[in-house]
Amino acid sequence: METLLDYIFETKKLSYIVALILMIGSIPFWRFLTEREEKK
Amino acid sequence: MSDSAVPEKKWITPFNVFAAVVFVVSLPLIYLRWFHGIGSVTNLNQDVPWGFWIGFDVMAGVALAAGGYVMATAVHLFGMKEYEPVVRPAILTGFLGYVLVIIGVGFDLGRPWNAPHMLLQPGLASILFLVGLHVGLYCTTQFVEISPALFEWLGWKKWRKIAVSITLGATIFGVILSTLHQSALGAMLLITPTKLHPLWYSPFIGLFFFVSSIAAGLAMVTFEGMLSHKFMGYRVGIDQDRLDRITLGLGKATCITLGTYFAIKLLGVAHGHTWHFLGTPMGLWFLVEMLGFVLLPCVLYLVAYREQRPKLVRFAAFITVMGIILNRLNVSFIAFNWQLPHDKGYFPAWTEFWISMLFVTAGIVIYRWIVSRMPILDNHPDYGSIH
Repeated sequence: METLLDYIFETKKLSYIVALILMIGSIPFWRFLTEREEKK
Repeated sequence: MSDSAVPEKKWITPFNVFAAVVFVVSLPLIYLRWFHGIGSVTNLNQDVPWGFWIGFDVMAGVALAAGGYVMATAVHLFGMKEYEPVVRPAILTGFLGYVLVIIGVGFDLGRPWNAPHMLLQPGLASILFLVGLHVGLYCTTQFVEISPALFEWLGWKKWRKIAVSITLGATIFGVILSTLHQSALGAMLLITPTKLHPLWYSPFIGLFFFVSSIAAGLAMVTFEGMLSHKFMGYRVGIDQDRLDRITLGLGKATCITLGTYFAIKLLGVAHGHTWHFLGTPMGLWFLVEMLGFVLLPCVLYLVAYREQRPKLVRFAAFITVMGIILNRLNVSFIAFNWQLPHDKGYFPAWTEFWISMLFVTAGIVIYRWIVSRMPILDNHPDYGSIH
């Protein structure tokens, strides 16, 4: 467990980070989708 | 009704000629399949018993027929009445899709007279039993859901009243069945951890199948609405402007569904700990599917809805449909048995493609026959709103 790649390939902890990024990412995703709709 | 005039009936059209060629060439192939066995028309073997027919006719067919339950749920259960004009076409497509799936399974399995054994000696612990039972039940349910159109056409008012009164119950029953068997088709692959490539295999594969079926159903409804308007405009009961608004709404829903699907697939890779496969040839193929046929249409939908561009929604719907077919082919035979030596690999025979093309063509011909007669795309003049 010395490099970032080791961390990615050898632990499952990455799934928590991915889940967090996806959850945070869903906010701009939704905003981008509905921004102009709300302005109307 | 739209302003488009009823076209003069012409028998010789490019599509009719194409359909006639497909049907005529299929006849000897059907004979070969049923009288000389499955080996005479397919490249399947003992190592690869599942091929193009299971991937396309069954797996992709069931997913693309999901528009029926998605739209019926949206309109009848969630009260999204603005989508009412696309409910009947979606249910009809779903019904015909399921009928063709059953015929497709019959071609693959053979010995259709043994089908009742599924009920006489039910394998209650088998997911395959669940799928078989549900597809049969759901096909019946969809017939009930579409039957008001049939009775309106026949003028059987009493039967129509009974059919309409059970529509809500049928929709609830239908959504329960669909949720279960769409995911069960994927869950069936849970017994293949050593055969299905790790990038496609996941303990969550049932969830992947279910979520992707929603996107497939929505994309098919979008795509089919475009085709109906283009080729059967004289029957369509709504104008282009309303169809565009419906298309944009469907695009928004598909965008969210594809975004969710991409996210859970990514989590599947993270949870399955399969990152290192992404650099392999199969991994690159997985990326083609995920980036080219999930993320790309998702972004196209995103832009199309934001900028209110229905044509772009339709283009994205086409890519989504292709993507779902690719995914089902991948899990059925491309990424299945991936460790087999190259010389034992499988590529479908032309006859397999042809028989599948027969099912698609037959589906279009039957759909066109029904839609040009029954009140599917428009309302019957004796009845107001469709439902």
